[in-house]
Amino acid sequence: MRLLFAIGAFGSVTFVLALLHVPLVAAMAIALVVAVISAFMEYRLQPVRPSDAGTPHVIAAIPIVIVAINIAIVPLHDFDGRAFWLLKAKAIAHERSIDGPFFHGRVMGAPRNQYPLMMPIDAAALMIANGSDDDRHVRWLYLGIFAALVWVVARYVNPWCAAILAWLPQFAVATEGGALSAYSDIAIAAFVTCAFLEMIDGDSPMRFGCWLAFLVLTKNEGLPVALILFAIGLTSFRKRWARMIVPLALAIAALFAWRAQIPKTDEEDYIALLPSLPSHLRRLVPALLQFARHAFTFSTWGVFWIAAAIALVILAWRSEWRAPAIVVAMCAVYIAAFMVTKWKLDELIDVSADRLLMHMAGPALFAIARVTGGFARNRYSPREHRPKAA
Amino acid sequence: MIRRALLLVVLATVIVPTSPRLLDLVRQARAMRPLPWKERREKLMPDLYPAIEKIDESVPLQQPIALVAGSIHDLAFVQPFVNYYLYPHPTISYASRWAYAMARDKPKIIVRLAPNPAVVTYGELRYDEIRRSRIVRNPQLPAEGRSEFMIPIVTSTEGPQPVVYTIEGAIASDGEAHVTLTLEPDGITRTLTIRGTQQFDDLVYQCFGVMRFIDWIRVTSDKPVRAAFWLVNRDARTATPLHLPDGALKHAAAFPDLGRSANLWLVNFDDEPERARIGPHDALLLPHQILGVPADGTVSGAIYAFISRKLPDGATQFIWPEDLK
Repeated sequence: MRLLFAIGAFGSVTFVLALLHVPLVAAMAIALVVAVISAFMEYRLQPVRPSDAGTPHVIAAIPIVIVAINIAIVPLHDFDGRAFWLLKAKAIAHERSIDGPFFHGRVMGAPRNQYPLMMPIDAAALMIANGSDDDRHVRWLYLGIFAALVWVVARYVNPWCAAILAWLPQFAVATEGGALSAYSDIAIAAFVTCAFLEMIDGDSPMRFGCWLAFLVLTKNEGLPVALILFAIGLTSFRKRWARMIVPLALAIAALFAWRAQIPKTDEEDYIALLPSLPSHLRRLVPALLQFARHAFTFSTWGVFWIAAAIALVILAWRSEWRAPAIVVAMCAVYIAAFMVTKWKLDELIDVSADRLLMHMAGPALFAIARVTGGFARNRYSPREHRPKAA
Repeated sequence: MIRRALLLVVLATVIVPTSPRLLDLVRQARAMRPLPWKERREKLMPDLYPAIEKIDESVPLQQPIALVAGSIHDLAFVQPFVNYYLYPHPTISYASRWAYAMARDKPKIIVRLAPNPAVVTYGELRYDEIRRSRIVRNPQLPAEGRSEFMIPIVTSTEGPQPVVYTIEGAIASDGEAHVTLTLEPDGITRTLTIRGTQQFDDLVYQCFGVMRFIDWIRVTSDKPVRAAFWLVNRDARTATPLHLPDGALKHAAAFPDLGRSANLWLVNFDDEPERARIGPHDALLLPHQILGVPADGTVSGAIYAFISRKLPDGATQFIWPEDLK
């Protein structure tokens, strides 16, 4: 969790400072200090310590080790990672700027120009540190995030759930979006998971707000997801909500300030399309069915989402509503995006549904852990019913 | 215990589809391990990566590159990787050849976006499109063979989008013939070995590798060949046959008065300057020159002449002196 926080803090702080025209390398140096300090922050989250954690830990390590071997030898060959994310990282590393000529279309067509830059900044830092914009060194960042996410689940949710996560085909072996790629979806999944656990814990609204800020600065989907988590988080943090809004508001303001400085290129403007939602209601059922088809595809997810759906229903029935609410709200946002898109519905769902499902894996694993027993019942229940006072 | 079993069932269902793919990852890594990093990329992208490396090596870093797509697919699925591996090489992407042709301040170096992208000339890019289809599908050749003749007007050019003019046609020989084509007035020669029938979809570009607005061609052969050519407007999908004269006018040609819509073309096939008389005026033609002038009555002199006129359907009408009574 400390590693994930450090990765998020580094990218976010660099982004904000670079936006204020602090020279990029200086911004990265300051951000590195912040990230290191944040890594040593006190975490009050209570880890789970089941007696038989060794076996699931070993099982979880197997795919991570194999993916690491592959990453060390086989060059990156994904689509979005090279076409968008690492191209931006190269531009940031080369121009030492987040709004240089590349982002104004003066070097080449800048695809998805207004995508948030946290992950490209992290990758650019590695490129600068290595003195090369070759992607071979950067890939460890993405594997590191995956391994850290598995560790977070093992430590704070349930070790067997971590093994499930590590072996999920979409995370472990998918060329597009998985740990082998340079997409930002595992980062989103990691930040959602951490934010969710922080919310369940209810200890630090500021840190919860930071996770939300990282979400906003990682991907476009991060903003609505952060707002969903914020709304649900209000129930955990109650009167302490002002502390969680500070980093979130700062991230949103920084993102929009940066976007105002650079041209928009080929990304779809979902906010502008949203008012057309009522006129696209006929697409609701096809979108739901196709999204569900992806979730229940055995070769990509096993029976994970079937188990998760059952677990979420059981939690909702028990009035433990936060995990179900997050998953349902995120699904609703994604389905709404599918409904209003100008893309062909089938094509967009085919290329994005599995990656979007990754984002909800944390709360889903929590629900499975909660329903099947283990740590969650021991720690989560008292906090659920006796939230900490402000 | 039951709950633990449920977790193990879920775990088993994700291990089953992932295991064979993890094994594939191990095999892939093992196979690539002995190779240098560059060759690993070439193995993963056998067409694309070597082609991009070649571009990167051949074009100076500061020289901007035009990436011209032949299709939406190439624009969507090739261009991102060309940009990724070429960065920080400046590029400008064009969705089509016409987008490039119409652009101002465009890079001079062109890369054709294809599964194996390459640096090309504009002519090559254009010819890539042209050779995909032919307007004259079954050219009918004359029965009589000749050893020398002229193609009095040839072109390989384009007008405003999407107008493209070419010369289509064919040369046929029953045995093996060595045919020399000389593009005039530049005097560029190419010798072709013809066995059977050779068809052309853009004669000037195919034979000489250049685009020209108006030229003419002298054809000589060591054996008689049968040939026919057409002026083609590919946009209008029209083809007008060309008369293939042996030499200059044999007598004065009284062309009809077609007003300003017609062009009179004067061609000097000779190696010496020639004087032509057009109605009341004189014109001096340099050796091998082709000259367009307003049609103005009877033409005489040791030159060749014909009239062209554009018709409303996009076709070109020719009036040859041999057609006149």
